[in-house]
Amino acid sequence: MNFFSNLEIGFATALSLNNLSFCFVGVLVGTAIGILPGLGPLATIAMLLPLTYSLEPVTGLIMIAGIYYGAQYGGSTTAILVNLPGESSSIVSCLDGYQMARNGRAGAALAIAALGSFFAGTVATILIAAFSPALAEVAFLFGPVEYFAMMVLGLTAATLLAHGSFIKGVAMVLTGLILGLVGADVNSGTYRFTFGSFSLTEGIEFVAVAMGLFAFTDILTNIRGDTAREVEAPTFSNLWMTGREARQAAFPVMRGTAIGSLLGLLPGGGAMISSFASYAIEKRLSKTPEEFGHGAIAGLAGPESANNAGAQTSFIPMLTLGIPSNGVMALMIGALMVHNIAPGPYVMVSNPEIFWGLIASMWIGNAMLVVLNLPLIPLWVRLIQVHYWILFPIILTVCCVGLYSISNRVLPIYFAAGFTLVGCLFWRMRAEAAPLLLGFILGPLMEEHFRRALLLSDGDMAIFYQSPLSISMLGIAAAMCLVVLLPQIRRGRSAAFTEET
Amino acid sequence: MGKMIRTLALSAAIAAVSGVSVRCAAAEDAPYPTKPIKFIIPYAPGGGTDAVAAAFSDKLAQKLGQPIIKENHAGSNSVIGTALLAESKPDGYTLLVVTGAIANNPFLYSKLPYQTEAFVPVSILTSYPFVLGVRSKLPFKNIQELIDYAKANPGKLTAGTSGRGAGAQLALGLLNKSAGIKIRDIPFKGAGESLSNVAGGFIDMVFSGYETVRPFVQSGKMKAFAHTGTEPLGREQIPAIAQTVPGFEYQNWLALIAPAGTPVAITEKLNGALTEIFAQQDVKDKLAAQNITPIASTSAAAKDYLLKEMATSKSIIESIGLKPE
Repeated sequence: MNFFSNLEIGFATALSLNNLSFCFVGVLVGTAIGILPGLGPLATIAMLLPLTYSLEPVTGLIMIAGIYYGAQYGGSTTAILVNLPGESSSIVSCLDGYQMARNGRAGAALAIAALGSFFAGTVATILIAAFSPALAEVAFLFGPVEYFAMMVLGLTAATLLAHGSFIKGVAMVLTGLILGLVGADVNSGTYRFTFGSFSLTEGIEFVAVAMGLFAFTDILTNIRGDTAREVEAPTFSNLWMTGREARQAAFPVMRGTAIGSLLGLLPGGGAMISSFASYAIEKRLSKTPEEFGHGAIAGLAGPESANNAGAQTSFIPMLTLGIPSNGVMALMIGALMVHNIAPGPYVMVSNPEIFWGLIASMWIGNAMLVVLNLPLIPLWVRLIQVHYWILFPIILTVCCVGLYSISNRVLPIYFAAGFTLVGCLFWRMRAEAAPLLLGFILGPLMEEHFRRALLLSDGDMAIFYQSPLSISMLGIAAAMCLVVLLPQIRRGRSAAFTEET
Repeated sequence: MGKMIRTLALSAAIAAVSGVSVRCAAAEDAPYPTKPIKFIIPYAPGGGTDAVAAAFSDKLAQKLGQPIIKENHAGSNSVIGTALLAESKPDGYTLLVVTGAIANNPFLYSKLPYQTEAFVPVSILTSYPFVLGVRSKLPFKNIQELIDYAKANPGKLTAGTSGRGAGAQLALGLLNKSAGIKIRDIPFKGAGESLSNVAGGFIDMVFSGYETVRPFVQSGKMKAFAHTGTEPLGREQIPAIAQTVPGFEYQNWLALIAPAGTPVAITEKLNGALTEIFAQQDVKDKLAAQNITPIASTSAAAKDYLLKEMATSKSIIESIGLKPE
């Protein structure tokens, strides 16, 4: 495979008028929802997913991807201007970005965030283009056994690396697994938990689960806090940063990009983890750590680049292995499945225009975002002031139309309503719903491959340790469990001891 | 904000139209139809059934002078869409484009919400055979060698199928039965997954459409030396299994079905229009390019075909040990 001819296919696809406009719509919507606190890319993509069903697969993916990385840009704007993280991954940007804005450097902060993100996005896109084909060579090494081992690894990693309570993470994954069981079993065709209803034989509609748990739950929980928000208007005369500021930002941006690119590959929210990691590293490396929290440029530039790089490279496991590293990637896999494209190493070979078109569009989208973000800041500032009572009914209506149009049925709307209640319950319990979605998607796939492997081996479990790939993946999963759980067990023990004494 | 609202409104509008595509046509005086006709497609949008329906629905709309609206109602091996047809008025304004699955379902589901025999088939539309894609590392050069090996090593060879009661599973069951061999059935979620597993060498063969097997044959990952029809197939002149195993035939087909009690005058009118359309050279060429045979039978012949297929399906489904549930 030739790198340049591939990029040519990619740019030819991405630069078609249709794809270009959907890329633009994607980054615009992404920026908008990134700016709106509470409404995340997962929720937005969940509600726009049915819309992509009628598009060409590549066009749909380009738009979804645009929303995803667009939200990373938009999230920083809110964080810097109003100290509200529009996105979970921009929490860190609040720390020093908002302080910069208060010091009258809002314009510079926004410029650093946008340009740092652009640099990170460009580098990460090049990384995807350069290394994905190497990963695709393993395409045909993956049979049922290897896929099973990979699902185990993915689920383990998602559970262990999820932030928040470990036990809640496990509970969420298991709940997802159970929900995923509903419907016809692939291997035997037996119906499970359908209660005699034909409407359930295909399983619970994934979009309904995602919309209920994320979009509708977000809306319900945000309605409670519709208060006036204070906006720190940037002075446009000083939009551009000074040379000194640019020099201070340069190295943190590069380090942030490296950290983000690496951590983005990991399942379980790479973008967010990498922004925290980058902040910690910058603070440790800084000659003036006391500046952090009071408007340190490095404290904004590093994490901003890291979260954007992480958002980009989290596409690699999804595109090359069919493994979703976060909820948005899971949704993208859903979007591909609708078009009868099984995500995995094979997509690159069978649908090169999808693969390379998406990658090329990422770079174009990143460029669009810079152009979009700098001049449109006044508009974004006004969007933050829109009252929820205007916005939410519009969003709800669009969602319900979308749910109905999935299969021209009302049932998914009821399901979404039901999962909204569940989502609110999770919110009350401070349990993260994302692991549930991963369990819902990966669980049934894991079972399917496990049973298919045993069917091939005639019930001989030895098949799982005859493949070196499978052994190493299962080994990594086991090692991860040990590393994460041992300290917890030890801590649990010492806690028990202290109680005794 | 204006932009946001406009974007959302646009999304809503597109989403509302997404499942429904309207084809308009010039009006023409006729007692039937006087309003748009709805085609239920019981599969997800973008599938093979959509493609064939697209090949004739525009022309049919022109001939009848009324738009034809396609609605996708996917799920349960076409049962959900078919149930909707059963609930519709038999006035010729709601029709179903369905695959051979309609003949299999009575023997796969114990509680079908409709009576398959009661429907009025308007016409059988098309039929096409499966091609047998075989992993290229296997030493066989023709179906006879494959059968000989399978006879000597029962249960050693594996074939990917697309799940319970799917066409590929029935074709495999029929081959096992007629040749007296045992090739093990490994179910997958769809043809795509079985194909890549054959290409990766994890399973030995797969029954799938000609168009889906061809790219793998061209890249050298599969061999295609047999298909389930009766005549040599395509430019490669792939031999039929029937040449080695006499009487072996498995065809996939597509039919246009009307609700029970639809008047003969209506089915006749539709049928006449379809026969003319399928006689047109460009339609023939379009389908021939995919090795699909246009049929356009009479309503009576379609009914016979459906009943005959149901009998065949019943015997294959019973022979592979599937029971209605």
